[in-house]
Amino acid sequence: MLYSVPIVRLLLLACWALLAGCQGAEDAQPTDADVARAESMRPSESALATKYERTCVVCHSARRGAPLAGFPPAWAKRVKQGEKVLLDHVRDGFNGMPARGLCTDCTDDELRSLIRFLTQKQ
Amino acid sequence: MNHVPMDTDTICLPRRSFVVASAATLLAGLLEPVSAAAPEAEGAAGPTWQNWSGLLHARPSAIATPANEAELQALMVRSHGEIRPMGSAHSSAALVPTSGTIVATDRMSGLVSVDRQAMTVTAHAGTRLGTLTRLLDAQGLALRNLPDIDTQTLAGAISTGTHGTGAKLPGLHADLVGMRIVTPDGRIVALDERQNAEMLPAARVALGSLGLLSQVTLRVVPAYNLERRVWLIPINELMEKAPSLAAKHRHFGFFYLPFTGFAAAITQDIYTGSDLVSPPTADNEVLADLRRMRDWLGHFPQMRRWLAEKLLSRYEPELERERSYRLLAQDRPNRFNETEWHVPVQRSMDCLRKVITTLERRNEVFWPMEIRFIAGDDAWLSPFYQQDSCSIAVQAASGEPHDYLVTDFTPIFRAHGGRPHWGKLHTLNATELASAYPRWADFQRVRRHFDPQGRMLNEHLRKVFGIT
Repeated sequence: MLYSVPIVRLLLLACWALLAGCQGAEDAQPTDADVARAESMRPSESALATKYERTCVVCHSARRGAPLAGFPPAWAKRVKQGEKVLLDHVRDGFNGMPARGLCTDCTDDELRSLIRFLTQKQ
Repeated sequence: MNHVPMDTDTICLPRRSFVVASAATLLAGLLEPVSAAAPEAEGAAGPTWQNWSGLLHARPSAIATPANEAELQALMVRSHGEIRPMGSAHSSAALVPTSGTIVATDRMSGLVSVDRQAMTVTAHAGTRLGTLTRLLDAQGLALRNLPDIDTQTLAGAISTGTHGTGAKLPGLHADLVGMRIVTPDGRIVALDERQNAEMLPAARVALGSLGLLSQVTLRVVPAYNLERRVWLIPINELMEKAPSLAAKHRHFGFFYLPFTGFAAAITQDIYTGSDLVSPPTADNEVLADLRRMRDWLGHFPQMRRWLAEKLLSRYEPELERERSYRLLAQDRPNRFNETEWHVPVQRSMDCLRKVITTLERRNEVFWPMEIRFIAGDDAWLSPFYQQDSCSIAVQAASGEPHDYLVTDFTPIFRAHGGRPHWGKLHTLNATELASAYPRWADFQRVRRHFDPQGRMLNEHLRKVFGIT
């Protein structure tokens, strides 16, 4: 087969390595201070803070796959899509995001408020 | 609150970059993709429910969200027909779907009390593990172990026998010392060492079939830090070393990366120093890279393996030191369906070899397999009942074919004495399950005592329990 020829393998590997070297800069990474702030921040409104604490905080307050709360660089691409798209993704679930963000009793207005809280630096 | 619209996952793998996205433009034109169909769209009208992976759907008559035990009790009294609890909808098994009432207990969240002398805490059963661990940490406390996902509610995790990894550490349900159950007829039954203690072994893992949990009391330990080491190693070499690594480390598990010949080994041990270090993770990109290699080279498994070996073999081990709850659990930004079986640890590596051989007959596979170790316990429906176990999880991306997870692997796991994870894909019936669980009949007797009319059973559980 073609790829069993050593020179073809070497060429493929070289292409991969070359493209790896051309890869753009990584997205900005949160500092320890950003993570500490995400862990402690809560919405000012009490009822919303309660819902935030039992849902969003689990995934959005640590260095994980989900974007970090209150760390705008992690949200920039998402915010560009507009609030309606973000709300749809939260309401219906999207990628790893569970439907309604696991907040079964959140209204759409509350979900909008939580989106704003998560995406802005507090 | 959404995630990047790309195929990523946090799977505790080493920092990448053995493949880059831009290479797609080079190879995509040369190689026909090996990928699967997109998921179906869903209509929506009235109360609807779906599980996290999108595999399961239901149209219940109501989704109730009681705020406390009294509301839960009132709900049980006034409702009619089937009742099923939902936690975080993470299960691939059809434990929740019903045309009756789905009860979400996540409003019942938070600590009730802390007993520092007994080193136990009582929490509302709807508390998510990730919320609980933060509340405990603020008190200088921690759970002894955690599953590798912490979005589950306490009720959901306990009821399905959810577990972490650690050969000397049992599942979460083994640390349960008390619970309060609201039965289908509205009674509140407390179980602990002083009251109804004889029913605790049945109630620890009960699939939500006895009633709805309102509170649980768990053993806790002083808060602790962990040091995690991750390294890539040829799978055959790791399988030889796995028993000794499992015995030596507090936590040991690994991910096998299909069609690479490599695994990512992970150990975690108590760390008493204060110099914590938490480098940013690139695990998401690793999974995306594995998928790209599948898409581009899926038709050429030898080439795929050769290239992966060249690129993976140069990676340095990783080190991370953090609070225990931050290391033990991760989130899953990419959905998948899964089967997971718990095999007697002595037979596990032989079983794993056969599973890998079978898995790699499918060129479309790219998702890492997860292998963990769990100590035995005495809960009657625990998959680890009197059996130190190794769990082997085979996963497929949501929206891609997954039937083979059951058809191809069930015979292998059963031949090795495996028991399926209650919350993941399996098709075993009551007769098959009864032969794997020595206290099966005793559990059924307790279940009938709590729920003589079978209101807590849906179609899936009626099949599991053999009730027509």
